[in-house]
Amino acid sequence: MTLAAAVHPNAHAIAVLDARWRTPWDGEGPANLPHADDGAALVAAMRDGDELRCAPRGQPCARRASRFIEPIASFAVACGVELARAHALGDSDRLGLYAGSGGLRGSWGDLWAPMQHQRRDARGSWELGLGRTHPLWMLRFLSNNAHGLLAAELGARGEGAVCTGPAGGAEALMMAQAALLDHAIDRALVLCYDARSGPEVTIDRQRAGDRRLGVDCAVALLLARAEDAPRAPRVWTTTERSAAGDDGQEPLAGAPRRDRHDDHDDHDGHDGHDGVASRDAHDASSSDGAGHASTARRAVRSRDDIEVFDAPACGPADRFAGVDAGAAAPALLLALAAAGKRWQPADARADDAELCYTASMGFRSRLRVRGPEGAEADARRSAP
Amino acid sequence: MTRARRAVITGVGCASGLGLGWRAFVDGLRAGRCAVAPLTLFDASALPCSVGAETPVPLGAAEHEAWWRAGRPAVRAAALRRLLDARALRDRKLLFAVLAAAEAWADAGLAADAEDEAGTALCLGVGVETALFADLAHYLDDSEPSAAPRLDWRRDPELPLPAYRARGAIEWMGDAVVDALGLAGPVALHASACAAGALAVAHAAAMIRRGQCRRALAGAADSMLNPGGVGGMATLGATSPRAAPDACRPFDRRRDGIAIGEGGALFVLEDEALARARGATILAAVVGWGSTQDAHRPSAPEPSGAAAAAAMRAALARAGLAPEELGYLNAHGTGTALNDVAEARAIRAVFGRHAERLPVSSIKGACGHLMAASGAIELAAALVALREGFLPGTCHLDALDEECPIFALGPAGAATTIRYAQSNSFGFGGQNASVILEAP
Repeated sequence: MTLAAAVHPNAHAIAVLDARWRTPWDGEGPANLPHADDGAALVAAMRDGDELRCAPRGQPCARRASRFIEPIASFAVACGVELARAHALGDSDRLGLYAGSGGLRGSWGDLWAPMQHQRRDARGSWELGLGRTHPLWMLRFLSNNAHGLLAAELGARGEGAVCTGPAGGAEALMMAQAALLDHAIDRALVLCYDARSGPEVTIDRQRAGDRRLGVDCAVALLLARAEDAPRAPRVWTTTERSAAGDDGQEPLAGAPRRDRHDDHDDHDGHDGHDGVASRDAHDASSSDGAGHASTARRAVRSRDDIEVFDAPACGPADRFAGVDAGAAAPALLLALAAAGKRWQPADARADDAELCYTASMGFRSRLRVRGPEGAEADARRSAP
Repeated sequence: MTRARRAVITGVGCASGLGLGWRAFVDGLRAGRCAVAPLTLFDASALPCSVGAETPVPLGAAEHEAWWRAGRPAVRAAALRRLLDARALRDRKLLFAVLAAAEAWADAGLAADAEDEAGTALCLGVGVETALFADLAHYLDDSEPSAAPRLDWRRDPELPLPAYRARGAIEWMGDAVVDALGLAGPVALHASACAAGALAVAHAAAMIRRGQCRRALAGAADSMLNPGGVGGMATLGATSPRAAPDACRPFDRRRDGIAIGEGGALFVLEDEALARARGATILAAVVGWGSTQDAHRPSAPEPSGAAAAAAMRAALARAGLAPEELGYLNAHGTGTALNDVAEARAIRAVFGRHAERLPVSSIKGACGHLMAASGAIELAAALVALREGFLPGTCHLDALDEECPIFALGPAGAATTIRYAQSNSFGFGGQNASVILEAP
């Protein structure tokens, strides 16, 4: 929140015109659940027989370029396209485009083929596999590929930025808000997405003793200046850094938190490494020309499942204490609030109309949300 | 009537193939040095690209402590201990970020061990993150080539946290800088490809102008000099196929691709009132910035340069400048066939006749393409023009491409006394950013 907004909050509020999202809970998202920290209820809602659906169902809408972005980013693009079509957006230098994603993690599945025959000292890596990667393989790691694809599809030529990391989604919202308030753009489309169910994240989370369930979510929000949409829900965001230790994280997230061998006891007592289940999972997965791995996910039942290359993992199914939607959480929170639905992520605190979302590593985003009723009341009060 | 807040630069730190630190960067540019050479960080002999601009830092984690204590800029002692214990400095991006941040902090006259009462924000540009081959290779088991490979985390018991190695340091880059200098403000990590560094600085300046913070550390660091990075860019066709020091020849008619570099640059930005109150030396003011999207293709610039021109115009408008007031333009100038022509068209569109006498140069021939950090190191090059009175030249520009009708400086550079300098950053994915500095 700007200093001026602190004095007169509505002056710098932003209107949420519309939203689209894809979550493991499908259409209504988690809105039917009172709190995301009700882990058992959330898990039950995602359970499909013995498996957990930690990613959105189905496939993103097919487009040629989708082969070169992560599945969850493709869902985000689809959300953005839906919003644009619903509001006849596009082909404009006044349409800003912002994106916030989680860490730019290389998916281990992508490295499966080039790693197969490598030497440990990395000598000859090109001849041993790297040279056989798809010519456009690198595009999958382009940090702004979803942003670029959506801009091209819509013709969005206004200001834009891509943020990443724990607070990437909140920062993207902040930048969109600032650009609107500066009148640099008239509409802002904000994509927030994160994939938190893969082994790249799961191992790190479990080592940190984080018992939340990682899920994959994609959200697109359409924002405008409040004066341009007096009856729309309003929101404003700020970020601040929480006090050291506020979120239970050590100052340097890369520093050792515990003896890694201790972790072997955390996973149902299993310490085997046969990896059969995960190899089966890999064999069953399909790849396209760019080495695009399957989006199939399943629950982890033992440590084996996350110790083997390319294991799709969600964490032990009976240990969840909440949901981790990563950088997508603040946008999902806002999208649901704008739809008049209440969702409080495990890492957010609610205080009347204000929700305070705390990302990992001490990055805190303050998201203030007011529903349509409040906005209407404000509009009535400000009418001549 | 209150005067609008201005964001001024009070400190700068650099790391590039030209050397560590601002002075090495300036001296390298003045001397017209080229840092592009055969790669030594890994065996690149079989790759389509085998040259790059390596930054001279120790390779091994074991060497880092003594090296850091031998004249590196100050960071908090406890933070350095944590970085060393976690072997975090072996990640070159993270190392460059911490080095440049610490130098900038000291250059601004700020003490690493003091309380950050200003609540300094961090706006840091970060790059593509892959699981590095060198990291994952340690965990490969001894399967025969025909067997399904596995990664076994227990293979390297000396490592304190395997996930650190596999997951990379995207988020930890920011956390390491915060920890190293005890920053107390918000953190934003920018990932807008080659525009990330410029957008990070623009973000910081905007926050200061709006009163959201009074001080910010902004810039970027990156390294793609690893088999996946170099190999991936080579298969995309972005790198020059020639394994020669002049692999990157911006605006030259013989140009044929980029040379990859590594490093970073960070700046201390402050509310001018805060800087003046504490008696800080003001190096420049960040007076203009703009960003646009090409909305064209993720891997190729929009040929007319229209969106790039719009970003440059937005920066000029924000600075309140007429085009002819600009004294120097540091171009994105990648040395690829498509980029340089599109950028030249954008320059002509924005500056008209003034483009015939506006000095333009690209430093990518000298220190390579720093990817996410390119916007930051090239803004530092623009600062060289204002702070050192020297316009950096364009290494390996011998014969200007007639399709690039601009006043491109040759390798020698030139002396100058200008007031305004602009830096362009046009990224993969079609993100364009442009930033303007004003001399104090």
